[in-house]
Amino acid sequence: MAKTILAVDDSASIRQMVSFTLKSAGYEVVEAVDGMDGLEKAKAGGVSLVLTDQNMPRLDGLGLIKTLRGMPQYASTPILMLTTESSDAMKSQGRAAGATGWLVKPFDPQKLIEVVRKVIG
Amino acid sequence: MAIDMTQFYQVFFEESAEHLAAMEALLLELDLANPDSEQLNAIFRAAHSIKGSAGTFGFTDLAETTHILENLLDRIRKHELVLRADMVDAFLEAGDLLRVMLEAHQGRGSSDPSAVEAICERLRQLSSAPDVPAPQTAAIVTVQEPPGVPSKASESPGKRAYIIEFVPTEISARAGGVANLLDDLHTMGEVEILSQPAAGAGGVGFWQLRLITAVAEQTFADTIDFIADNGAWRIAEDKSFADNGMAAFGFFESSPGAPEDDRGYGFFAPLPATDLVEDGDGYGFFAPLNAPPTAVDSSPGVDGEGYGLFEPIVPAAPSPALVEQNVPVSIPVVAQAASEVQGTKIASPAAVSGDSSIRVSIEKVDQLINLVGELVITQAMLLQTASRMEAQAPERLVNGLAQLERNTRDLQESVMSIRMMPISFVFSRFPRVVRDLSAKLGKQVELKTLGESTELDRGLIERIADPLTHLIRNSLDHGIELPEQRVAAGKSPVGTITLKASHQGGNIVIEVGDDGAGLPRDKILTKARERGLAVSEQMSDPEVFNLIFEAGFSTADQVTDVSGRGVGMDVVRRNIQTMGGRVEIESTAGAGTRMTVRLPLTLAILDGMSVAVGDQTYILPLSYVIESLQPAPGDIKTLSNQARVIQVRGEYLPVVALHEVFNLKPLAGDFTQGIMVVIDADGIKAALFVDALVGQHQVVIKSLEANYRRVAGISAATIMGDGHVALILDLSAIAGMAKSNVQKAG
Repeated sequence: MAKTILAVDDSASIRQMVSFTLKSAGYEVVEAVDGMDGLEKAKAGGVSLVLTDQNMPRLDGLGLIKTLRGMPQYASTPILMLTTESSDAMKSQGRAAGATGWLVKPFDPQKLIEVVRKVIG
Repeated sequence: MAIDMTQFYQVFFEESAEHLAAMEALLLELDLANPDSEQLNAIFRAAHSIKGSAGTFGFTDLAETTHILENLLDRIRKHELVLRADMVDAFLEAGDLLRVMLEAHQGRGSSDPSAVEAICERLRQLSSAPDVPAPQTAAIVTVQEPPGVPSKASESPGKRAYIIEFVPTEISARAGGVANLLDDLHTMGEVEILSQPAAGAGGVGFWQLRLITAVAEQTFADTIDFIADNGAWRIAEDKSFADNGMAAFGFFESSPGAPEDDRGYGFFAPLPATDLVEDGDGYGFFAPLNAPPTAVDSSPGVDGEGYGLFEPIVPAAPSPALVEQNVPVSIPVVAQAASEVQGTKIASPAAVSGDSSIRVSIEKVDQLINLVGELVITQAMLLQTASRMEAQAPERLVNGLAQLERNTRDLQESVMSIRMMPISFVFSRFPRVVRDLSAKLGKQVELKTLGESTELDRGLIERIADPLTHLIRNSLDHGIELPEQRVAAGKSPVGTITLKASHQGGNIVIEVGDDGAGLPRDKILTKARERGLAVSEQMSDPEVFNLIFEAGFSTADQVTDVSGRGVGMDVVRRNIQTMGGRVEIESTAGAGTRMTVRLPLTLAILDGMSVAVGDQTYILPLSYVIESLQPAPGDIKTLSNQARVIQVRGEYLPVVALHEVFNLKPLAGDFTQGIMVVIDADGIKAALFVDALVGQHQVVIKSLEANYRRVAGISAATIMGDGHVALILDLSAIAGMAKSNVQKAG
């Protein structure tokens, strides 16, 4: 069965692009419009990988990662941050929050697939 | 696999336009003296989102401009710079240009690269203003910012290493520019020359420096730009340099000088399968995969920032990094996050509204409305058939039809509500209009808006924007006086323009009021005479004021580029009339002017009363009908000029016999055998004489003009349940006709 990826981003166009890209690479994709929405959708379960934007209303990426890491079912699920900020401070915050890795925006679809394949095959 | 990115463009355009609109609204709301952190964050986020998506979809011009915008906004929201009015101006202007660029990408118009470059330069200059050293404010900032925004680490950065590469221009090299640069850099931190031109070259050639400094990159970038002004320079942060504990992740070996975004990914720890850290590509992993995130050494500069918030919710959190020093700071956030996690949504409605909607093309909605319109007709037809069957109709059929009628009505309301939009969509553009115009005219004006949630049909929303803009510009230009004139007149120097929307009966009423000088009656009369219009001093004020709606009428002493070009008010009136609306003026000298625009609630469906006149059925818009009565003999009086009036509750109303208006043979022999329907059309009351009242229906409006031609006294047509066409009366016109008949008599 195809693995399910939760894509969290407040930008509809990015979401659409990520979703389309991953679906065409054979993954199932669940979209969420911000951290809170992501959390709700994550609770439904069955997610093999979480991709999240950082800068979002209501609950940002780091907050989402932290919260997910606090839930037993997401203790070891890979979580990637899609971020325009690639500063060390950002990375170290991401790392501290429990992110598995990061991917810098803008990225092209091939890169996204490449990274996702590395993480969940 | 190649993915066609163009398929995502439309969504990108739409969302970017929304971000720009949101940004503008927020900017206009900002209190300069005490900017709200949440608003600043939201503005930043808007710019940030556009940048992210624009970069992804290859709109580099948009990405670059928003990047510069974002930088400045970031510094402001982090309290590194103090917000000033000129910044807001620059932001608004940048927003305008971004909009133009977006439009240009959609094939509408073109953007002006020099204007874009100019605004970018302005933003850069604003951004390179000296820092506000504010170590004390850092703590406050942390409280106000949402969790996770990088704050302390980036606000008080430790030393960073930069690889600087440049080729100086020959002129600056020979003038000792490089030596000066090196001196400058020495004052900022440690400079190491990695590579320099051969001794005999006089400094001309390739330079590579390594600078370890705590100052911001922008500080020395400008200097370098100056000596290598052909753009032959670049600065890259040297990631192999570790200052405050960053060395713990030694995976950032990167080729010096490689732009950070080009690399963009890396691994913090080896993957189980791939032992090598991959550099130079744009992503990275923090921890070994397939393993829970392990404890991370807290480096105080990083972890101390509000991350404690989730700790109370998840006491069994696996990461010690969650342990927090400054828990008190994050308590309010904890409370909210906790309840949200437990499923109690405490979301601000504003944040949710944008997300819980879907985009549907207007064609689909219109098709739905059309289909429901047909359904309404069919339902009415069935009901009529059943009522003709009278006693023979089975009870279950009658009940079922009654149920169908309710369902249809509910369905119709729901479908119509899809087309309804709050008028705030139009109102939201006016703060900007007022701000820009008042600045241009040297006036001080405050815009008040009321009833922004009033909903009206989407079709009207689009078409009302231009006329309203014109009315507002007019108020600003001609109505509101200059501050000194206002003070001289004993008024506050700040003028007020009030925009108010409300529902009144079947209408949407939009008022544009100002507390300015009022319309100059004498000037209008003089001007009207110059233009050869038939006017007299005896004309009433409303009649005089209505003259400004005549084509080519302007009383402005001087033609300004704001208004006063003599086109406009006639166009405004025509536009409003084509929407089935009216515009009225009230004005008091010295106290102000109020323009009232009345529009029908929707263009598609009407609650109507059907009346029989002769062998015809007509529909009266129900919102105009006050009462119906059967006249007694003697109620009706005939005036000297044959005009008739009827006394209703002590008031004499003009009588309009519809069979006379439409040249029909009445069934009722005299007035006592028919019915008088009393209507109130915009304050003008009249009594319509009809043969009988038939019933009350919702009717689907079909344009008569589109299918036949315009007929005086008729506003539209509809198809009745039995398939017959009935005409919908234009009661305003008929009432006006009745009034003038009676007045002529007086």
